[in-house]
Amino acid sequence: MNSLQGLLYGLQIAATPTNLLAAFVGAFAGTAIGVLPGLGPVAGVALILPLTFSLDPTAGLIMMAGIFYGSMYGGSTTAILLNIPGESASVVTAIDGYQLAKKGRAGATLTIVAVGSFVGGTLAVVGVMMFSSSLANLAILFGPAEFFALTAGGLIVMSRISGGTLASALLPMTLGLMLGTIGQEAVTGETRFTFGIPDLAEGVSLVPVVVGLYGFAELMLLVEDRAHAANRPESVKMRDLLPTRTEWKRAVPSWLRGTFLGFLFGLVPGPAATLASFAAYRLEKATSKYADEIGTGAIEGVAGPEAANNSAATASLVPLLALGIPFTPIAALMISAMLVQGIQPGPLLITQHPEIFWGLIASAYIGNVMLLALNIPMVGVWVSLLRIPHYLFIPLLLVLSVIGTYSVRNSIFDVWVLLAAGIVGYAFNKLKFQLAPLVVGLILGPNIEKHFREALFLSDGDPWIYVQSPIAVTVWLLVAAILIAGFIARRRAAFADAMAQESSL
Amino acid sequence: MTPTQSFGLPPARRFVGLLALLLAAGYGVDAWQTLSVGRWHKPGAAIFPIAVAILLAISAVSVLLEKHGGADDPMPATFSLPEGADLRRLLKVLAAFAIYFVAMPLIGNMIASALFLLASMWLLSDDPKRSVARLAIYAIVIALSFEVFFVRLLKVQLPGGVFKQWLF
Repeated sequence: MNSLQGLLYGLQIAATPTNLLAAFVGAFAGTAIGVLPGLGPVAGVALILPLTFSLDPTAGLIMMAGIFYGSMYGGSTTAILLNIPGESASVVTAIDGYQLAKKGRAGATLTIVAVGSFVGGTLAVVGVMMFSSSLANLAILFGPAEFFALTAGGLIVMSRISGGTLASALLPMTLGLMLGTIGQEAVTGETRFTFGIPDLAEGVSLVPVVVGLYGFAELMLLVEDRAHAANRPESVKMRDLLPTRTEWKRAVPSWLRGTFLGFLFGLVPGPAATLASFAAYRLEKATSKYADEIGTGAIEGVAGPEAANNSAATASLVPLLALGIPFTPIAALMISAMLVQGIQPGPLLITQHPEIFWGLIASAYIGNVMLLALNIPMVGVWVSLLRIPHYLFIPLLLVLSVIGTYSVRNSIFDVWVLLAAGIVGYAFNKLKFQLAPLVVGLILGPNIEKHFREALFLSDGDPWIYVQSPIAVTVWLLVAAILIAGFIARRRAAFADAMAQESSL
Repeated sequence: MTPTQSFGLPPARRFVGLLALLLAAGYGVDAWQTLSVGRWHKPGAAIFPIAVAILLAISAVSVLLEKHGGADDPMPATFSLPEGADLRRLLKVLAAFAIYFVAMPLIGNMIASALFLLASMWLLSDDPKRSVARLAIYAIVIALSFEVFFVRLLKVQLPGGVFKQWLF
């Protein structure tokens, strides 16, 4: 099946009433999650995960993907109207978006952002379609040494490009790896670090950790932050939603630049959407004709980053679909959903479960159209959502997080894990440690160990197995190249800052 | 503005680094003593945890040795925590949340949820004239809606508690 045939097949799958409803519910809930402060895309997808177990696997994954894209759309609404980003990828949008809103262009900016997200998401799906099937064909040749290079190398890259200092990502990452060793190990079935607690025999479940780190911790920050609770947005009228001809003209090149850049970032392990939005903002400042206006309320400052973060979010599906390797917390949750449903993610997914592979890709097209239809005409509804008092929605979301967590394994122990993870997440937020490496370490740790030990078994203990095949060598060289490029970029930035400080003296 | 108290970020991070170093030591020793190391051609279950313990120790030491306060330091010098009434409110919500877990298997999810919702709404509302009756109605409606949606509609298994036979 070539890409076009695959897409047509996928459209048939995605257009069934159940899957259309799943895409709609996902897009709607995702937008609400993105709009409401406190729950970002990761916690939103984690909460919905247990509900997907009662659905058909394809419908469940389509719903999760819808939430992911939807929260990307919705996150920008609070950034523009209240200067409060709904999720980290919208931080940059708040800079120019809020300035534009203060100039009375809130409605037009929301439209530019929604269309930009649509452009970024839709064009990136074309790339996902082409890259995933080719990469999956190549990945059939991979053995344990190659998968070890991909998983361990990906984790190393992630720890270095997650933002902040190296230690801020390395410590949570190793804690994640450590948590991943609890329970029965994959190669010999030996039980480790359970300390006689039966609930630990199956290992630490991903859902309570993710909901705790991303959902509960954020909600605790909202509980203590009464200043934001007092903010109420102005309403946006329908007639204000139409951008001027000049605004459209200025947005188009930024959308295209952002989409391309975002797609490249999406292929690299790490918080792709957030990094892509920051990179797109810098690109706009470097290339736009209106660079001087950026930072004071320029349409390019929102159009480029928003297209980039949606493009990156979509592109991050490539390693998930083609290799079965999750490099983001959301991809890890999608892998969990597949495993619970008895589907083995990996390069064979495209041949063994084409309905999931192509259905998910086709649903991204449909989901993006739905999001456009949901976001522009319904902007008033989303704005009114922001007027729900904190004392109502924080308890509601806390109860939802407990129900979602408990229902994965019917375990009260998991609910206590949620509370512990929430406290750790709150502390890590305060102390500037990264959260994503912990989650990805937890999910990738058992895979890394399995491939590491299987490679040694196969090679009869020869450690050179890890760098013998051309594929493994290429992966390690790519890892080294990304690390070196990152190092050079940081040195350059530090040098530029030092020069700027010197000249200002 | 919310009243907050500032603390130095570097000492707090170093404290986390120290905890991580102790954790790495305990975890590594436990792996070494209780699991099989195996041989190169047949690596045992201890190999990976020992490697992780070493990596955790290295990352803990890197946190302990971090240099702060330079011109290129991306981190702020301090972090803030709520104080006074705000701190008490945060701790009360946390306590209510923990009591909710304990109560859930005993009195069932629906009743425990309704009680937690009522308590936390009361704690979080800034309105001095807030009505308990109104908040109780909100709490009951939300808890009932969750029960109908998750348990009845989606067949999600949630604890029924001792009152299960009298409800529905």
